Amino acid sequence: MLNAEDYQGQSKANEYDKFQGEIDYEDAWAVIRAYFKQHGLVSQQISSFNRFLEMNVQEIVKEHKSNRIKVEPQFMPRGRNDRQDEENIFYDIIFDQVHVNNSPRIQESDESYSAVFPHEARIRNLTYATEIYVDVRLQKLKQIPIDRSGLTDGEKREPKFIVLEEQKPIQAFLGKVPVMVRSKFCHLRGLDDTQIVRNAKECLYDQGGYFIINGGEKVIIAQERMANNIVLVFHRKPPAKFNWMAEIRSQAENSNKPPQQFTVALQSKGSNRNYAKCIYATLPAIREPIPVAILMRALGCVSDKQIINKICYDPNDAEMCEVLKPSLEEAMAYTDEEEALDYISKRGSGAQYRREIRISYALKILESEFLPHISVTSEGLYKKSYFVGYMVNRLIQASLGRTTEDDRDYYGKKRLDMAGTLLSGLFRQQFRQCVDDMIKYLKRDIDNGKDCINLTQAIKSDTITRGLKSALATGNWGKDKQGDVQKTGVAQVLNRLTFASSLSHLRRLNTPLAKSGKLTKPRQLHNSHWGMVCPAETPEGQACGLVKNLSLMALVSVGSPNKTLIEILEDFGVEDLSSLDPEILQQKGLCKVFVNGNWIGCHRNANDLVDTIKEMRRTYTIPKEISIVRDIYTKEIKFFTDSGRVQRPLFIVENSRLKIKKMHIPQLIRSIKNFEDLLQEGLCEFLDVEEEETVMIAMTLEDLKGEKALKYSYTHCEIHPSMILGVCASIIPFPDHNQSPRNTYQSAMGKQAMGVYTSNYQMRMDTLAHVLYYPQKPLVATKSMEFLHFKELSSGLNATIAIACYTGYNQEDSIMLNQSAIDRGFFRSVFFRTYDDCSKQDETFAIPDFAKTSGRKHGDYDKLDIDGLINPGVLVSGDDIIIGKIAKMSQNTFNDDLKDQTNKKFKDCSVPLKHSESGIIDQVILTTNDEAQKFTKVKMRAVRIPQIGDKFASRHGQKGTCGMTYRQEDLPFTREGIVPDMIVNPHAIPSRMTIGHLIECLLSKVAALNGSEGDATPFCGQKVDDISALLHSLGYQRYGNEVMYNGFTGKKFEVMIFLGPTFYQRLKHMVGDKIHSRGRGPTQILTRQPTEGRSRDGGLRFGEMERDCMISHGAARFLKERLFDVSDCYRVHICQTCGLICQANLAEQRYECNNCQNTSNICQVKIPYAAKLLIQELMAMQLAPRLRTSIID
Amino acid sequence: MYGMEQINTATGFANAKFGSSKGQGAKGFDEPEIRILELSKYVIKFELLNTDLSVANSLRRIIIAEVPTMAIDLVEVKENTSALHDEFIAHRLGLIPLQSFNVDQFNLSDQCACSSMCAQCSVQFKLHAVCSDRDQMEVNTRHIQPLSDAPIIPVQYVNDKGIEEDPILIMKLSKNQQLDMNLVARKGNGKIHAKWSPVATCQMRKEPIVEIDQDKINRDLDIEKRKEFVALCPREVFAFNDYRNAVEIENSDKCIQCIECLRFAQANNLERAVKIAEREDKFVFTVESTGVLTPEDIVSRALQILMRKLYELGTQMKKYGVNAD
Ligand code: SF4
Ligand SMILES: [Zn+2]
Repeated sequence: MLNAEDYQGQSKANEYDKFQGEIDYEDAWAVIRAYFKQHGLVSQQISSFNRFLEMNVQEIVKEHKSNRIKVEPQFMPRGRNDRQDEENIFYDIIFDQVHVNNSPRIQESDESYSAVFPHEARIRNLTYATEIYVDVRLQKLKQIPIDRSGLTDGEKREPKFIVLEEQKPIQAFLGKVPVMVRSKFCHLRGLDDTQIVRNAKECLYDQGGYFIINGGEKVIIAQERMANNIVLVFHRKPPAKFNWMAEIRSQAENSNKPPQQFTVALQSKGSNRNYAKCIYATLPAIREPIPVAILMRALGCVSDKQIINKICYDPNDAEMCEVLKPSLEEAMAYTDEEEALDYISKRGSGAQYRREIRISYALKILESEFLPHISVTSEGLYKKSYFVGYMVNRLIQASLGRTTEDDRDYYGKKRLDMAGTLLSGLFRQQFRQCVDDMIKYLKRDIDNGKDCINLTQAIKSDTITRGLKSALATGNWGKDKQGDVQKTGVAQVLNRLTFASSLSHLRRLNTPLAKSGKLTKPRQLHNSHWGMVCPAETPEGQACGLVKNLSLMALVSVGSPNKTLIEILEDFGVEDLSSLDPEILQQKGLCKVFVNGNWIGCHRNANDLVDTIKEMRRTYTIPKEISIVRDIYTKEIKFFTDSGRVQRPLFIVENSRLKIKKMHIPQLIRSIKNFEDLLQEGLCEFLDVEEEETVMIAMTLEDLKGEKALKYSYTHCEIHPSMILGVCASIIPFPDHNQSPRNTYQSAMGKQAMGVYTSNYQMRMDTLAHVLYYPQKPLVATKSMEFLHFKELSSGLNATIAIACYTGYNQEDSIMLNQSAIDRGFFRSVFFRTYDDCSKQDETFAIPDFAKTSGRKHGDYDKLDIDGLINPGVLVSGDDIIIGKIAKMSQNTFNDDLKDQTNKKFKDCSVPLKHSESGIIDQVILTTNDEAQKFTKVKMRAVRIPQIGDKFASRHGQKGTCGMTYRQEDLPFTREGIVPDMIVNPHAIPSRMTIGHLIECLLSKVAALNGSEGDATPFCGQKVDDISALLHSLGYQRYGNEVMYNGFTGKKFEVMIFLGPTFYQRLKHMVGDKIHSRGRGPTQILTRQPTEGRSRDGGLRFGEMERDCMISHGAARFLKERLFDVSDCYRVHICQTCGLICQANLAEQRYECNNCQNTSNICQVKIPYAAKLLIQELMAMQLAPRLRTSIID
Repeated sequence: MYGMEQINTATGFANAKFGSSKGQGAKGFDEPEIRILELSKYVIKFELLNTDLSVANSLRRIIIAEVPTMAIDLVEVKENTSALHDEFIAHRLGLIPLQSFNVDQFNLSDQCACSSMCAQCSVQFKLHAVCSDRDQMEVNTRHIQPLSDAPIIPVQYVNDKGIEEDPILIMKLSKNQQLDMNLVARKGNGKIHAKWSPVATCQMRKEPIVEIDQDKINRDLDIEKRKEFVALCPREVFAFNDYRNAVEIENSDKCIQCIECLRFAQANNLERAVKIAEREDKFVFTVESTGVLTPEDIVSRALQILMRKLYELGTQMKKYGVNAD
């Protein structure tokens, strides 16, 4: 590691090198360090949320700026009929400025407000939220009757209003919005480290990025989707009617309408009546495909020439015109705009109306439904014709083989909806609901002639408060018109098992695609994921490849309005499309300019334009996250300003030299400058996937020095290739030496490792937590670990591993442990579980008095203190009661239990400990929650000592359970007396090819011997030979092998054994939590079959496969025993006359069938209780299932 | 009783013979012999000669796991407001080495006549520490106060110059935290729990044999190769004599049997020129005490236990009329 002093200490002689010299990798890491210092690991979440509260909320409120209510006076039977003059009266409710309180607080039971810090919110099960207010005013308007003079028939004139009355604006409470921890609206913003730890009681390393809802930490998982407003051309295999199609999902900026799909498609050859291949367009709300020429005419391009100009650009392009010809011929009958519109409308839902109405209907569709991202007004039609032309052009180009089909999985065409975007969508929905309710409420008041109109009362803050809270609490995002949930699992409970698992959870991406879909392509790793999405970290199974994780340095754009950019572009000579002559498109040097997928115009000098705008971006004149894509081949320049594009930083290269020099580094190290400054000085920049495609990136700094630099004209350089990995994969040492699925397995396993999940774990009350006793930082680490704080909050130990068989108790992925090491604290951990409860109405915390209380549980109540709560330090086990609570029984439940009728007025609602656990009470708190109820949390702790059956894993996807523990003297030893902590079976290595595991061990051995820390960062060119040379120089066999002796006999082993320290993790799966057996036990109430699951002391399932096995063995009696005798065997008495179940009094030996007065002809049978149930259910449906019995001999 | 008693701790180098049982001198062996090579306050290094691997390994195993010592086994927590939980502290306390020179006075708690605990099988301590006037305070073995006058106290390490080292750190207390515990030490051995093991390490190795055919090597290999051969050994067993330009054995005792040299020889068609082996009748032990017992005491107690075991075995055999000799 380089620090400032080293730089000062460098010799002055090397002045040139110091300032103008090229940077080396040590310096690149200084840049990376600066990046993480500024951005942390969750800035994608936080910046998105900040954007939401700072801008989006205001924008959404502005969308509903004014809301008009027409007064329609109600008839008043008696008096007050003077309201006739209110005919043309209107009320306007105008929303203005939004105010967000940046200090989250709650209202306590005594009505007072108190600031709530995240820690308190977690402990007291509060919601960490802040209020938002909006300036709203009411205007009373009168409409002036429209002056019809001088108007022709169809013409309309805008109605005029005069303001009668204007109320002063008031600040109305809109609702509470949950606040993201560590965002700009969180109490923790701007606090220094000591304050965070001492005052706020937070973990120093916790980076926020989640919400606290009812005490639970919730992460919003980024949702991946296809980008809107992008034209994609696809090919379909022959049987399809159309074999080429160009599609676009068009959505206007800031609209919550679902995107409109628009397609133009080229017919396949030889399909039905038209032998020629025509091009058709599918419009929204129109049933049939419309010939594209008719659509063009409807959009105002009447002549064939115009159409050819807009589609082919160059009328001399014979090949292209040839493809277009059949389409033009097909539309010959419809010569003008009106006819074309009529053609379209006849295929819509307005077919039965008059021609004029029909035409205006079609026009309306074209204006507002068709390609809404270009325009939703009548002015946009001309532009739309250009756009249709462009799409057809793309279609024909592709069909002619000039361009290729588009790739659906290309990451540049994907967008990530982050917390802010998702919340905006939800807020927009809730706010609209809120406004609608308000209008309904006000209209009733106004129509009823109420004088004072109370806006504060009309705006129900509950809509937004509850809407947002419940979405975050359940993860069910948004409701459609039918009230069905649109997306589930958007908000999830933050994983707090290990620090790395929390971090990884905060950087997770989800693709909401049917998990069952067997399509493999969207699950595969795509080239364009490089640097944006971790190539290793994805779950196995159903969600494989659909759930992804952001790479370490990837950020997500928050979006900026495109208006300013368009203005700038016009200033720099982009000719607006609406004033463009289609003839011009033929010109060779002309480039099409797109902003967010919308073709805005053309430019004659693409080079200049791109250079200028790039320069502006590098100097921060325009936002740094705008991307500039120049496609030379298709002569297009595309700009993107929208939100949800993944971006990553790169060094800028000019003339094969990095723009960043040695001289920039010391300032970074001394924190005089930060990463932002590098961007501003144009040394680094953020590129998104699509822009990345148009630049030339050098992989290593060395690439810029050698011949390669001359061969390729690099424009950028990777900061470090190891930054392609995500959080979990960055923990793996030497991942570049492992078989790739092993890295994927480790990425999943690292999340189950025990460690110190947060430094304030003693103050937190998590439902489940594991903390490792003596965590160590790994002997062999990657450089990225520094930014993940893995060395501070580690999750494992450096165990001395021997790869050997020894007694063989490590077969099939098990391991042997050193019992003496376990005695000394090896992989010991504590387990915490928190129980909570609150006393709702009619409930009290107390020791139940069973003279007055019914429903006693079989646990031990004696451990409760007089307040009904258990004391810290008490040993608890089994079903012991830890929270005593009684509830007053209401009068009607009183008769439920006949026996208790006399004097039992209470019901026992106490909380017992989980019956399979035991431990010591660690902490008990008593407080109130936000509903002013008494609220308690009880934390239990138990020490978990490693034992046979517990699970351990290295960092290379090598997991195993403990198969045996041996004491020190029984284990193999070296001549130096070294005994392994763990013996791993050699068979775990060859087929899995985890070479990284072995290199880690080798380097760890070196590190342990010379007291250094090994560097295992991938793609750094570490050589095994160098490591083994070091080991050799330290006096050991080159490849880490050692001569060992049998601990039982002292005999030398025939072969040498690979021995050395390796960083191992203890995984959360422990036998103690899983061991289960049952002789007899509880049964389900309904079926009387044994319960299921360990937590209910259930039976072990004898399933279909087991049944099949018994059948094939012919073990019929055994089968009957398993499925019947031992399950729900039930005795019933059957009347042999009618075959129905009848009464039996066994004690008095009286049997009677009420149905047929039969007392003698009755037999006893055994049937499954479930069958008896079925019989009775059938009887309830007026069916008589009769059991006919006979004696078999 | 045993030869070990004759060791002069001051001179360190004393040779002693052990062996009284007739069985020891069985076929092919001379009388077993112990030769002490080094002896310091915490470490003993000795050679065990003229005996079988089984005896040597039994000795090793007994040293590690069967020499009884005292260790804290029961902790009664009266007050603990520290950051660490009770079990954690108790586990740490258990691992503190206690000076157990007088272990023999005590009974194993399950073999003691008392019903639960008595002075014959346990030693009581008190651990009381309050951090009232400082921001942070270290709790160490000096805070452990014996409640009886049994000479069982936590080990106080002394360095080579005879100066006391810092006491063993148990934990740290922050302001206004306190600790009040009653500790009970009991007798046990390393088989029950590693905390009763008297040693940090017990090394046992056979003495290596390294032989080279100097003539052959110095004749068949060129100088470069000879140097390579010397550099090949990780433990510098060989030396290169610059005057003679020849390979010599410098210190065969350092050999770790990695057979690098053998491989090299094989690769150069000199199979016979290098011989790597171990002596089957000479074992070098290094016993590093944790301070609970003196290292020589550990070894003598181990031998005593070994002998008792053999004696037991002998009497059992005699019962069936087999001559144990
Ligand atoms: S076996 Fe290894 S340690 Fe021994 S002499 Fe040969 S090279 Fe050196
Ligand atoms: Zn009957």
